[in-house]
Amino acid sequence: MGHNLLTIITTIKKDKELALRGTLASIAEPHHDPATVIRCKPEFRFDKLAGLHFCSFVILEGDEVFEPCLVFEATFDGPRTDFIRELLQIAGPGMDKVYQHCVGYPASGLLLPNIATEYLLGHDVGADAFFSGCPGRPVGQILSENRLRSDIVKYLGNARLSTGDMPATLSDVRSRMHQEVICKLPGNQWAETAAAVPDDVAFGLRRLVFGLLAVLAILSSLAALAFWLIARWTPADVYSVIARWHEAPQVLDSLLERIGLLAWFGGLMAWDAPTLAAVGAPVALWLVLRFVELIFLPSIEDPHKETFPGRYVRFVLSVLRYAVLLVLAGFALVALVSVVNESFPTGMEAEGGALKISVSAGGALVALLGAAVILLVLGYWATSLKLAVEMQQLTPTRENARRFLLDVVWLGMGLTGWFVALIVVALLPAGVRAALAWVVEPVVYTLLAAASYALATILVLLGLILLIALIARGLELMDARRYASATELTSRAYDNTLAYAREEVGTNAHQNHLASLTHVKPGLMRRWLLVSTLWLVNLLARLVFNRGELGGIPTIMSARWVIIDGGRRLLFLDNYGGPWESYLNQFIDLSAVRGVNAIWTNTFIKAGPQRRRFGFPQTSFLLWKGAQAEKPFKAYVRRSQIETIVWYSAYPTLSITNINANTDLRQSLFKPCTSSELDAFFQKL
Amino acid sequence: MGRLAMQQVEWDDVQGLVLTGYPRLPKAAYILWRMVPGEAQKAKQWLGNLAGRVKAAAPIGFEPEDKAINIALSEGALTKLGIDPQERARFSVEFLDGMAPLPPPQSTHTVSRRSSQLGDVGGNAPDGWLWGGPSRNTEIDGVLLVYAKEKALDELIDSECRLMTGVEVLHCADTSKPLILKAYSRGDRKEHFGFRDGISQPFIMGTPAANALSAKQARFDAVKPGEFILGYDGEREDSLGAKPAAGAAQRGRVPPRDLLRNGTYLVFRHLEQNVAAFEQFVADAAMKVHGKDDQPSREWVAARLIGRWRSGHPLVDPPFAEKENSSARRPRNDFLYHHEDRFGLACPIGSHIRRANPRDALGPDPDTSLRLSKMHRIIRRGRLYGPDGVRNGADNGENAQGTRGIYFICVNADIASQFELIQHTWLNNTHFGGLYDERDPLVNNRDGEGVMTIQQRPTNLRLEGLPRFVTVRGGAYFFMPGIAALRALGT
Repeated sequence: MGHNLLTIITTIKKDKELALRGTLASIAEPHHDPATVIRCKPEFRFDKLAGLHFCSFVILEGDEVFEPCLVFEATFDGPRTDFIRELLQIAGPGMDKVYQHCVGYPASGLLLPNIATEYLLGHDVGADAFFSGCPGRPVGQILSENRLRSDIVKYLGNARLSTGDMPATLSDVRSRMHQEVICKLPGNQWAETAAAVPDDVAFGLRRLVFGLLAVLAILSSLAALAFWLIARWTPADVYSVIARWHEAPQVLDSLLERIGLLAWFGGLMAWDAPTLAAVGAPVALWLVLRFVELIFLPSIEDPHKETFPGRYVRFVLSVLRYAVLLVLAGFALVALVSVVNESFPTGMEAEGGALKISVSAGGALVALLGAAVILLVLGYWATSLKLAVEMQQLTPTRENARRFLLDVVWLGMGLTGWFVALIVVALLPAGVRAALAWVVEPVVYTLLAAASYALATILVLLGLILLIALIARGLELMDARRYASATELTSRAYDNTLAYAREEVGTNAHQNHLASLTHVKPGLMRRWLLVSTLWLVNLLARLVFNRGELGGIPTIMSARWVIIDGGRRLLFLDNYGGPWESYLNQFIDLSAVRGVNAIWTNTFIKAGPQRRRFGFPQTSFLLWKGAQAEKPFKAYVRRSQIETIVWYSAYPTLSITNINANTDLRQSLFKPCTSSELDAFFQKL
Repeated sequence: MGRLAMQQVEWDDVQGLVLTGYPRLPKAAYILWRMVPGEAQKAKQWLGNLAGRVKAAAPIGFEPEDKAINIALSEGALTKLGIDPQERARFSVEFLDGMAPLPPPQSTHTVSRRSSQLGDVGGNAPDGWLWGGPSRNTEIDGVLLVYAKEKALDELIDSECRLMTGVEVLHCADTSKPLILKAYSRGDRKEHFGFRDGISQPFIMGTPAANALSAKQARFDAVKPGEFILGYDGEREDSLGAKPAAGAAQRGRVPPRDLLRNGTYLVFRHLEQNVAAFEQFVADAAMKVHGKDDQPSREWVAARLIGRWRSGHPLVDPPFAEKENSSARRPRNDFLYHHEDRFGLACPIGSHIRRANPRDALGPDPDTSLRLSKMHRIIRRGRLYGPDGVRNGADNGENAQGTRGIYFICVNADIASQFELIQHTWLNNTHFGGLYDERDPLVNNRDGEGVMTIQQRPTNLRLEGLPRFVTVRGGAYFFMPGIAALRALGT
């Protein structure tokens, strides 16, 4: 159960804009104390709406094309209709006074609340993309969890200062605290049960992966159809090609025989040369791909240094790398079930793909012991490589070397494991081995055949991405001539101070509201790009970025993107924590810049006395550059901002990090903790 | 590095204060002046002549032994000198608005956004300022910064004031004394609370001092020139103001006049320190925490507030984690937090040095964090005023009468992204580093309501009721032009 939202947009009656502005400021805008308290006006007791997180009123001024509009934005718990009913009960006369100024508001007003509700719901446009920093948590939970935390802090503070009252161990301290703060205080007993975790948070990533696999499966089926239509290749053809895999590396086969590598194993077992080659070749290929990929990997995750070609090559390489890994795993599995234990000595010639090993029980024991030692050594190595980065700062070259070595170690561990399995399987009775082979071979070959179609599909999609990127680049180059540069907006002449005079003042020292209105660039391609980007942002916000961060940014509390006026304008409403300046810096300097670019590169604004058109700072392949031009980007945002006339927050002094830490604290009350977790528990208080 | 070598800073055009705080000239005076109405021409003459006396940054490493003069102008001077609106619009909005602007006339708020951000509300509100606020001594057109040896200062002030034409020294509205703010620095670089100050300073890449840094320290202390001088690449690899046209001068062409070039912004804050309140709080807190208020207990608390001992040794340095050592070596400054003190167990998360310069402690990973924090560094050039009460390493508040404090001066290329960001996002941010309701323990403006958490085992310590130790008594934003720009303004 996530947060629900309303974005009610109504047209303002002719010449009523100024009057409405006055009404909103005088009866609806809460009083924002410097002492960080929000006091609501009697006609708009937002604080009495138990489920209301944030709400705001803004006015979209009219211009030569668009009529002036009133926007009411709300984020709340529970169904929309219930919220509107409650709002009309608590702030009915106030709402009536406000919406008197709007076109189409029923003359009956509050007399027939159902009609008023219908009017408001009828003008709700929802959002094309929505993000919440603490999804699924009702206002009550957020507030009481915060109270619980401060009670705990107060208790610990007193216990700490009144000498000798502290139990000796941390776990005793915790159970005493639990007793004193939660069990003994009736107001905190609710914390005896764990909070529910929304499904999207608990299973979001899994849902996303399954969804992607389903889409891939459908596309792969289409690919299979296309193969048949174009080249008359049936899945059975693909299957039989893959099933003859061990015949493929003839070259490697003869090479290996020549350098006598096989004789080296002669004492213990006889190898089928093509098998060894077919397993060895993917390993070598994988290592080469990984090596090249690391070369393209930027040493520091600095979005300022990233480019489309670098990113694209890296992406293609990693797709190929995973494909090779899949093939390797499949072939290794098949080799495993085709292994035969024959008495020594035998020839090394292959027979129907069978891998011959000659091993006695004693030999197997020695080999297994040896493998165990190798696994231990490699495991130790892997752990120390993983820890290396925790203890100290590595230079970029050493960091890349570390990653590569770690991969080599993991591969080595996999191969050793495979080797162990080979010997174990070889010792099994022939009947069992035959049964295993009978099951495993067709399954692996079928999966590999399916994977081949999936790979073909992914390669086509990669081509499609390249095509879209090139078209977008063309649009970007044309727009550079069509729109004035945002750099000009940095001039004082385009200042828009009234729109943001309230920022960081009083209550807004902790949280702020940002309302931005931009025009969508004309053309189908731009529209399609914007709609699909917002769809993607919405999906990711629901399934992936649902733990308080959107693309690494931990200060967004509740944000929404709404395409309005039939796709001609984009409205962005955002409740965020901290000052504007550093909030925007995060979008410039962290990887979230790509999201900002992908959305707003499709927009422009009109500014100045001549209503000139200024484009968003020029992007490169939709995702790069753009907002990274700090001053032009900030000027663009400033110029697109509209004044927030009314703003309310249910928890104005908390940050998203605080809210999520409070929930973590409460949830961890129920878990048995290891000593390091216990340590972390008290660390946060 | 190759790119940097190409972009050589024109040090002979940059004012000296950017590179040095004149350590061999312990006395200083900041002369606040305004232009005499109708005498702009004379003022121009004065500025043009002054350009010849202003100390330039080149030759680097040469410390003047007798005197040094620098100058910075406020927005008012630029307007009165008649620069055209287009040129004026190239200056930053913060500078043009000033440090204490009023809220926009149509706005319903009584406090301006900037004052809120800087924490200049309540007891720090500009209404109560001695100068630079909206009520008293508002008309500041510039500041003349003069530095000299002990006794020579008064002579230097006299001679510089005699040379003033078209401008006059401001007089305090209350006492009608001239607003000549006299300052000094102590040999041991301690400030009134008894802490060694100015240890952590950024170094401008390409200077000999930056080249001499250890590789580790260079990673976080060597900062690109554009962060401090206009016209060069900064940490984001874009410059504020036009870059100098390469080789234009050699080709014999006169480059177009660019007032921003080689200039920088100078932030001036008049901060009064309440030494008695600090010592009192430290003693009370020591009593609460340790049950006694002897010297080591008090020093322990004081060091947690700041993050360094009074001698300057950081708490992050293992030998100095719990008690001060009488080690003779210089205080370390080559530490980072992520690998050395991630959870603030040595140096509390909310301590002053961690807030003022978080190094690699904020952000998703230490590399990114370092990359981000390098965009928000300032070069500090502040000095003390008022009677010097430090004895035996500390000031117990009884040795000196009268108000004292620090004239905080810093140099940066982007006030919004450097000085102001440090104020609102680090020092005054209640949510800094995942905290809840704390502000900087040293410069918070919540008198008696300040809070600070000291990360500890087994459980954290929480200090409450921190008074306001530092009060803002004045301030302004200035522009410190390059010497050629100063000469251009003078014609």
